[in-house]
Amino acid sequence: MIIKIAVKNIMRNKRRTILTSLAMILGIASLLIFTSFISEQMKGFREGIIREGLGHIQIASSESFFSKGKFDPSAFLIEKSDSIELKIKSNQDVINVIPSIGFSALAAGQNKTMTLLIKAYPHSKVHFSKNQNETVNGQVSPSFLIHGNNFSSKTDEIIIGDLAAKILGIKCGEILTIMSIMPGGALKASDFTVCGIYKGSESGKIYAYIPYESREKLIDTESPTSFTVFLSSENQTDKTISTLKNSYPELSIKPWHELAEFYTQVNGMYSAFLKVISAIMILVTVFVVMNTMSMSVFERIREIGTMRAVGTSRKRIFSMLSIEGFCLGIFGSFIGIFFGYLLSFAINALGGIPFSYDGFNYHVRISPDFYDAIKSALPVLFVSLLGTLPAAYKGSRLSVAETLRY
Amino acid sequence: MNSILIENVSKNYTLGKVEVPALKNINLSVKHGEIICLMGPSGSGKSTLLNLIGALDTPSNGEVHINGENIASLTDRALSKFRNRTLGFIFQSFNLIPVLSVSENIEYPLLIQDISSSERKNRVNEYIDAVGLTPYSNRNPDELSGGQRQRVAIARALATHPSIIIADEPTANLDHKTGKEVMDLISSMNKKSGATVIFATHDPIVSNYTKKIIRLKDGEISES
Repeated sequence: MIIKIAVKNIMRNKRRTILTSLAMILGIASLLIFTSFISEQMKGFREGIIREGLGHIQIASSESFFSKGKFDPSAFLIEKSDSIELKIKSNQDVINVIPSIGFSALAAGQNKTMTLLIKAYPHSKVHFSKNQNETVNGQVSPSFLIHGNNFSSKTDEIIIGDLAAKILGIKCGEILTIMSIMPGGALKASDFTVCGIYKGSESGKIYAYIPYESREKLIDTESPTSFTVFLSSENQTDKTISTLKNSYPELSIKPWHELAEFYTQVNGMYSAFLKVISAIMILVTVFVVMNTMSMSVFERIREIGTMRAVGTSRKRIFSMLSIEGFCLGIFGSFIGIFFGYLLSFAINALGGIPFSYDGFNYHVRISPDFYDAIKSALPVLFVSLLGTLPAAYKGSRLSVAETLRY
Repeated sequence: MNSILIENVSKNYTLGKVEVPALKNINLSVKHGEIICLMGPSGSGKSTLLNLIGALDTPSNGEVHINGENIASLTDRALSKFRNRTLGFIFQSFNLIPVLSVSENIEYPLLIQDISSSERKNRVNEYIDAVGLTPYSNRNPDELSGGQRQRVAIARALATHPSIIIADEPTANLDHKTGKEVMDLISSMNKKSGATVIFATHDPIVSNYTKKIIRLKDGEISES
């Protein structure tokens, strides 16, 4: 009956209950939408980083490759790469193992010369999408093509970023001369036909891609400097790394997130931002619930006195008032989650939230995660109980004789 | 053995920096099954004395023994249990719980006792029937007249089978006819249960139902 009394008391002053719940509902719904928006953003960002070349796992000959490998690739070659590649492929969670080598080179176009960072991937394992909405799985997919095509089976093809093409004044089908410096200081040059121009992100402007099969035209080695490993699921990353580390203790094996510094920074910033919003919401809830429950106790002093007179203990009064605050929290939380889902359906029905980043335009769809919903509601539920405690304590400690005089 | 024994009881209230005596050196004994009436003008100490007998307050000096138990020696938990099992209260303003129906109001004090659900239901039906409110059992207090509300309060007070019933101005908010009906009901219930009944009242109707009248004046017993 204590729960029944608590619920009936909540419904007694509907206007106050609605106003109190409204603070929780708006807080939870906003937090849910915002969390979902960030989560979708970060998911897209994460998948993009993985597709662009990090894969789920990066394997190199040593730890220092990840900081110095671009400048001196010949110092970080992986020996017996064929057998390693075959063995990694045999792991049931691995869907693709892509050897690669990266180095800096000079590119000479019609009238201009610039430095490019060349990445060489096997031509069948790199695929530029045709537009920004096409998703490519299990292959390196640095961006999407705005002109031309992906690599054919020819080995003298190159795909460059749109800004590099503009600087070099070069179009698809034209010849680009690439020169690289060998470890001994000698120059090695070769002509490549531009088969595609991709939409470059800020960091992708200085990259160009050639087939791995033509690497020996520019760098004097057959071995790769790294392997990019794609897994059937991102959740398998840690498990697969552990297996690989046991098999190849001499190699440096890293999950994608350890190498995605910018992603980690952005993720950390968003997490901190969400924590601040949650803290504000929690503070508002505490004050609103404290105020509501104080008023509720004040209005029912005589009633509490009657309950005490007929034998209700302080503990029972305290429990009843606490349950009342908790029920208020449950009510606000459930409606808040429901409202959050409703709002997300409405946003999605209108096409999602428009977002622009680095020249790419998106419409972010909101898909609230149930775990996030619970995570948003739980603190509210907890603090609504916490906010009730002072009033519940005060209500339970009132002198019976005094309360009956009210 | 006395149902109620009050020995040298005083009660003082503090108003700001001033101590105001509400009761001065009261001595009183009430036997089991007696009906007594506390009468006196406002501020004479009737309600204060009733609060002490009802274990709702504690004396500043002296001792209050109810059924041989010194109430000052009980913890809050024990006092709650004591009030629930030994005492039944009838208040001037009825003091029903507004969010509960008639039957739930009567059932509420029974819930605190370890009484089975079927026994609770039987008792509730028995006392609703006894006060003539069976057709109103699912109504809320605000849907009842003053007399009906007081009858619910009487049923609630008696349903726990208390040995002492404390009634503070039970007819004050009722018209003459309803007041008489309520007093008839309490009187007949007292005959059935054999409980001690203590009234505090101004109402001469109430005094007609009691054999022993205790008059209070300025916190002292002036006549008994």
